[in-house]
Order: sequence, then C-alpha cells, then structure tokens
Amino acid sequence: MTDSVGQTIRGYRRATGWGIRNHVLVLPARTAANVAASRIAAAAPPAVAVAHEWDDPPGDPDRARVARTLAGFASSPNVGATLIVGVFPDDRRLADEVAARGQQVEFVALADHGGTNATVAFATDLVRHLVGEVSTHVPVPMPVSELMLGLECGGSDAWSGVTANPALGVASDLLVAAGGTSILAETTELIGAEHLLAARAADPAVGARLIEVVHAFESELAALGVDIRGAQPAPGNIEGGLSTIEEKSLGSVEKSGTAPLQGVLEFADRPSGRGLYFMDTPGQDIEQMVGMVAGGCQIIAFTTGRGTPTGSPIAPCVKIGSNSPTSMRQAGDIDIDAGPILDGRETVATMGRRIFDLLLEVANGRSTVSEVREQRDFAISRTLHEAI
Amino acid sequence: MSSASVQLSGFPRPGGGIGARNHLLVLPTVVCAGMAAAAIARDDAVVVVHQHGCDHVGDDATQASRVLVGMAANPNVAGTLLLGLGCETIQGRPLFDELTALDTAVRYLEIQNCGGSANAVESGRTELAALISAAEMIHRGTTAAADLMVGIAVGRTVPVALLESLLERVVATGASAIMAMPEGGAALPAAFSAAPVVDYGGRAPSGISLSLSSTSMAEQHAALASSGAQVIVSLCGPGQAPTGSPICPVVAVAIDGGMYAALRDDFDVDGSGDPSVVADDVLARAVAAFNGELTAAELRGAEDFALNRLIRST
Repeated sequence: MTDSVGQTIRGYRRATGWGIRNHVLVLPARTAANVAASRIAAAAPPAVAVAHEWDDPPGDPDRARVARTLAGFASSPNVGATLIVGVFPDDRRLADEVAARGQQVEFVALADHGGTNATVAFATDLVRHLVGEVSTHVPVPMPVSELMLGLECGGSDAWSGVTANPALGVASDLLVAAGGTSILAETTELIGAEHLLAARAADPAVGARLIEVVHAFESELAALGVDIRGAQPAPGNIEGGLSTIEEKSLGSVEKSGTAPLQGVLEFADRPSGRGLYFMDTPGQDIEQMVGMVAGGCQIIAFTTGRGTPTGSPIAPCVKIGSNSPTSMRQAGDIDIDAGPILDGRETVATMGRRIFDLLLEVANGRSTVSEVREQRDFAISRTLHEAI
Repeated sequence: MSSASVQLSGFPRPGGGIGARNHLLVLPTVVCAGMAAAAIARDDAVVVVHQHGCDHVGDDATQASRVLVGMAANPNVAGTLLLGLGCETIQGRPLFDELTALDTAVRYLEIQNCGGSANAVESGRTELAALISAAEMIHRGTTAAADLMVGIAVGRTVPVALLESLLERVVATGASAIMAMPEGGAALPAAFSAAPVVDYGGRAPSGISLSLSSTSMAEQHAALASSGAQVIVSLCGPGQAPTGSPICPVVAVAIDGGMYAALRDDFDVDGSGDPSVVADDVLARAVAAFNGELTAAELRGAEDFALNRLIRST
C-alpha cells in the first residue's frame, strides 16, 4: 500500500492549490444572469458556464451556504480563471469572496451595460483573453499527495456494496496511504452505518461529531413530520435489489475503505489536513458533487449500479459500474466495470488497484466519458427555505 | 383602457386551452437527465434544465411533481418529451400518465432503458421529430379573452394602485389572472383581497386567484406557468432582476425607474410612472405577447427556471 508514496503526476500549481484541469469558468451570481453566462461561454470556447436556480432573494436565510458553495466552486484549483456574471454592481461581493480564496477573477454586471446583450458582447472579449492567458499555464510534476478525491455513489443496486464501493474503498485507502485526501459524503446514506465510520475516527471528538451530524439530519426531517424512507432507498435502488436505507448505507460507507476518519466538514468546506474526511451533504448526487468540488476535490469517483450519466463541469468524474450488464449497456456513461469481481476474474483488491491507477491516469489528463460528452451537471444545495 | 375588448389569437389545444406559443418542450424529470434533455432539444424545442427530481420527501415531492406536470400541461406547450433517468424519486411514468389523461401530446423515455445517454439522445431526437410534425399542424385562430390567463409575479414594494389598475383591466377584458407572491408580500387591492388561493403550481380557476410563492421571481414564474398562465407579467421590485420562463412570454416591468434605466434591454416596461398609464401599457404588451410579439426575455433567450422547494434534498 505504500508504493504510491512519492509518486508524481502532472498538475497545475495555483494560488488556490494543485489543479488537474485548466478550465475557465463563467459563473452567474444569480438566476437572472444564467443566460448571459451561457452565451458568453458559448462565444469563448473552451470556457464553461453553469446555470443555477439561486435568485439571491433579499434576506435569504441560506445565503451564507449558497455563497460558500459558489465561491468554493469558482475557486477550485481545476479552474485557471473565473468570470462572475452579476446583475447588480453589488453582486461583486461574490467575486470578492472568490478573489479572497486566491482565484484569478473578473466581474461584470448586467446593470453596468444596460442589460444582457451589451454585457455578453463586452464580456466575451474579456473571457477570450482569460482563455488565452490560462492556455499558457503548463502542468508541472505534482505529488499524488496533493490529490483530493470525492467519493460518490448514485443509482446504487445490490451489487454496489459488494463490488464497486469496496473496490473504490481500496483505491481511497491507496490514495490516503500516498498522503492524499479522500472525502466521503452523503449524510443520508450514512444512516444506519454511522457507528462503523465513527469507530474509525482519529479522535473521539470527530466520531462524536459524525454521529451528531447524522442524528441532526434525521431529527430535522422528523421535526418536519416526513419519513426519509419515502426517498431512500429510491425506486431504482429497490428495483436493483436494495431493501432498506440501512442496507444502502452499509454499502455506501464501503467507499471510504479502512482509513481513519480525520474530520467532519460542513457542506462545501475545505479540509484542513490530509487523509479521509466526511462532508455533511445530502444524498442528491449533483448537490453533493458540487459541494465536494467546492470543498477542493479535483477529481470525483462515482460508483453506479443502475447507470447514471453524471459529470461535473470542472472536475473529471470517473464512473465505476457495479455490474457488467449495466456497464456494457451504458458503456458511454461508465469508465470502468467492477463487475468482474462477481465472476472471480478480479478481486476487490485488484479492482481497487485498477481504479486507483485509472484515477491517476485521469488526473494526468485522460478524459472521462462524461468529460467527452460534456456532461456538466450543477445544482445548489439548500437547507433553509422561505415558508410559503 | 378606453375599450375593454382585446383581439386575441392563439394555438388551440386538445385539452381545451389556447396557447400563446407553440412550444415543444423537452422536460427532464430529474437533474441527472438535464444534459441529455438539452442535447435532444438543441434549437428545436425549449428545455427546462432543472436541479430536482431525486431525493425529495413529503409535500416537497408532491409539489415538485405538480410543477413538472403543470409546465407540460401549459397551453403554450404543443408537445412534451419527458426524459427520465430511471432510478429517481420522482418517477416519470406516473407524470406521463397524468399528462396523457390531460389530453396533452406527450412521449416518455428513460435513459437507463435506452442504454445510456447517447442512445437516449438519439431516441429522443426521433420522438421529438414526431412531436414537431404534429405541432406544425396547429395554427393560430381567434380566441376569446376568457381563454387568456395572465400570470402576475408580484415583486417587492409593488404599489397597490398598480396592482389594482392592472387587475381591473384584466377583469374588464374578461380574462383571468393569477398572482404569485409570498404570503403578505404585497398589499392586495380590497376588491381582490378574497381571491381564492391555489397551491404553488396548482391549476388556477378562472377569474382572479392567488398563488403563494417565495420572494424569488423565477420561482414565481414557475408557479404561474404551472398554474396555466400563458403570459406572465413580472413586476420586479428594487433589487429583483428580470428573469424569463422556458414556456411563457414574460413582460418584465421595473417598478423602480433607476433599475429600468440600468437594465433597459432586459425590461419591457418602465413601471415607475402613473399606475393607470403603466397598467394600460402592461396589458397592451401582454396582449401583444400573447399574439406572438416577442418579449425582451424571449429575445435574449432567457429560459430561466427555478423551483420552490419546501424541504431540503435528502
């Protein structure tokens, strides 16, 4: 497990950390700027834009969480430069939050140009310059220990906990053994398995915090009078053979391998050290992925039994199939098949090593299938809502 | 208005409504299907790329389903291709059944049943082509004012006099209106204070009604479109940016003159003047928009969508 120590890959050294991609991101500060951001990026390839449903309504109780998410995402080390597209001049506060994290950032506001059309014309030139400048960034040798991996599962089936998730756990252990960082998330999908992870806490306070986070989530929903079992397991999980939320959780936690748990992170927060961390996120795949990337993950490993197309606009997402029929049927959505564990052609350990090698290859520049398809999923996680 | 009569011409639907537009809609039932939906729609259909559909619980799941169905059932939509992933919380099949029962032209595909995204996009293009052929047979015809439902998104600090002038004019034409606003978000004119309240995104009755919503204008637009409004009048208060809608023309009105000046290309009407003059202008724009005139949001391609959530994703 120690043969990856000192191993190097190639990456981009930035004020925001080590990146493995060299994107230019165009990020709207609010929904009303979505169309401008999309038109700007389309006119200045290969810049990427995302769209979101956050309108920044005055007095939004969730503002801090959403702003942390957007600022963290925009200052991912996979992004060489970001353009924030606001509507009002005051939207600059988001650009300021991004700049404070060390990211190169530009800002335009629709209201400074009379509206969308003139802003698009102005900002397209700006982004073309950013694209040109960022294209001069060259990758240099990067220690594997600088990699931060986001662990995710979506559309799980009964095989996920037997093949893909434990194999990813082995890969995660290899990364942690090499001095890197791995983030497990999906608070919902820890329900019923939280004690197993808490027992691996490097410090009793970390274990206590983990239990607290899971219980807080359960009681929050209970206080609303809803049963989490209405959404978990999801219809496809059940069709795939998962019977209960606990069974799904026991499979889900396998992604974290056996490394000690170093800390529990708030949504979209960056870990302060290395090793395995847990981030408090919903199980909703895209909200979770955005939170992990905003927290600094340069790469995502995503296991699936049912087959999902998921990808991130700025981080490669390596998709791992839990079974060969799905992996073959949805070959365009899945990068590596963990199904051979089932017929004995691979073991969890050998498959874990193959996944780890693929992660390094992808970190080095190999495109994932979701990158090739330009699958740019984005969603904002909210916890507080205005009562209506 | 000097005359209460308006001339309207719209697209008749089998379910009985009249559309201001003849849109084809590609509607993902879940966030995971959004990119494939956009790849199917290209420039041939509108698409609602949204961030929901999985891990909803309780009333929040019901509300999200209601809005997805409501968007597809809006008379502005000539036909809908529903695109599911397969494993999600909000299953597409029941939505398809509901839309079929409402006599809408709807087709349904699941990515996991198609063998992945690339195959789903290919099959989706075929399904969409069939919907387009059917939609091309539908033409505008003279429409009674009673078939018009104006959605009014009521932003912050909208003067009660403006709301009153606008509602009076809508009533005088014989059309209906539904207002979206947060509870107690604006003073309601006395004559309309007892208007029936519909759920967020629920089907609106004829006459004047009220849809509860959040303060987000984009979330209000989604409610109004889902409730059946063919044209949305968006009364944006200070600090409330103009947004569009994937399926409804939006007449964007700046209540604040300074905001209008700063964003004049993205607004249709400066709403800071005399309320009765503004109301005349707004209604005339809404009627013209119904009849086919493109609004500022349509011209800039703003197919904005935001869904109100009652409970966080799990």
